[in-house]
Amino acid sequence: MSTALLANHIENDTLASAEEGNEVLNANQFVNANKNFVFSTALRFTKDYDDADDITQEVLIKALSNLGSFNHQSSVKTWLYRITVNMCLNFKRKKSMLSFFSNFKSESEYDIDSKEASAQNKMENNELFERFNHELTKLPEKQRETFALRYFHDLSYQEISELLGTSVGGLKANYFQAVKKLAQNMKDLR
Amino acid sequence: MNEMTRKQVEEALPDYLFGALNDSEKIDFEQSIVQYPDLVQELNEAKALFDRIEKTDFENAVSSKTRNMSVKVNKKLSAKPQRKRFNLITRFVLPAAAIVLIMFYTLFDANDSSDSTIEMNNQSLTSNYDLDEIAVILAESESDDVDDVTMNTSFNQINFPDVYSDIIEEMYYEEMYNYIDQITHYVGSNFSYNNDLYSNFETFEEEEFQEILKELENVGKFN
Repeated sequence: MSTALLANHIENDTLASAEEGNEVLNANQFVNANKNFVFSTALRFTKDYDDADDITQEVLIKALSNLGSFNHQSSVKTWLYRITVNMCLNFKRKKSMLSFFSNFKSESEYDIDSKEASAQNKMENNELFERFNHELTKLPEKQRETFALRYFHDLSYQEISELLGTSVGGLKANYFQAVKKLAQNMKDLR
Repeated sequence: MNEMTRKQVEEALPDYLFGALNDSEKIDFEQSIVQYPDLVQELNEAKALFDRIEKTDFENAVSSKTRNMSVKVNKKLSAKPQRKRFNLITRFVLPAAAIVLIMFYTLFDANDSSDSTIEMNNQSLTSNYDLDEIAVILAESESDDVDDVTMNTSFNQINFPDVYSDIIEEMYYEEMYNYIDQITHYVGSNFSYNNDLYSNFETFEEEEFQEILKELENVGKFN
C-alpha cells in the first residue's frame, strides 16, 4: 500500500509525510480518523457493541487493503459507509442462519436491550448515550440513517442521498420525522 | 423574505435546531414557523431534548469503545495474508480438489478395474501356458468342423500345471456322467415306448394286426 495514496484518502489532512517507513503510522491515522464513524454505523445496524467492534475492524482492514481500488468519485466516508453497511448486512445474514441452526442464544440476547443493562453498570456516565442509541435503533432504517449521518457525521444531503438512494426532499422529511419521534420518545429525559 | 410552506418549514426544522441553516434561511424559517403553532411546539420539545445532549458526549462515548481499534486492526493486518491464503485453500481449493478426485475416480474406476482384471488374467494365462498351445486351442475352438477327438487330443497335449489337474479331471468326469445320463434316459424312453407298443397289441383288432404283418413282410422284401 502506497503511503502517498493512503495520504490522499485520509481526512483531516493529519497524515505524516509519505515515507515508506511511516506506513503503520499512516494506517493508524487512517483508523483513528474513521473508526468512530464506522463503529457507530455498525452499531446502528447490529445493535451490539461486540459485533460492531468486529465489523469495524474488518471494514478498516478491507479499506486499508483496497485503498488502491478506491476512486475519487465519492468521499472516504461514503465509501466506508457502503463497505460497513454491506458488511453489516452480510453479518446479520450469517448470524440469522447460525441462530436458525443453533438454539444456544436467542436473537434478543444480542440486541442492545440486554447490553444496555450491563453497560449501565459499566458506564453510568454514558446512560444518556445508551438510551439515545436505544431510541435511535427503534426508528425506521431510512429515518435512523438520515438522522445519524446528518447529525453525528455532518454529511451533506447530497452525500446521504447517494448513500441511501433517496431524494433530498425525502431525506429532509425523514430527518424531521426522526427528530420528532426521538423528542417524543425521550420526553421523560427532558 | 421568502415565505415557507408548512412542508418547507418541517424540512428545515432539524437543520435550524442543529444550527445548519445560513442566516437568510434562518430568518425565513423563524418568520414562517410562527404560522404553525404545532410545529413551534415540536421545535421546543426537540430543543429541550437536544439541549441536554451534546454531540461531543456521543463522540467521547464512541471513542471510549474504539480506543484500541488501531492495535486490533494492525494485529489483524499483520496476520491477514497468511489467514487469507489459508482460508482460500481450506474453503475452495481443497474441496474443489477433492471433488475432482472423486469424479475422476468414479468415471475411470470401472474401466481401470476391468482393464486391470483382463491384464491380470492375461498374465496368469501366459505364465501358465505356452502361447503356441493357446493359439492352437483358440483356432480349433473357433472352427466348426473340429471333432471331439481332435479337440480332446489337442487338449490333452497341453501340459497343464498340477494345480489344474484336479479341476480338469473333475470336469471330465462330470461330462462323462452327463453322457451316461443321456444314454440311460434314451434307452429308458425307448424301453417305455416298446412297453407301450406291447401293451397296445392287446387292443389291436384282427385286421389291424394283419396289416402290420403285411407291412413287415414288405419291409423284409425290400431289404
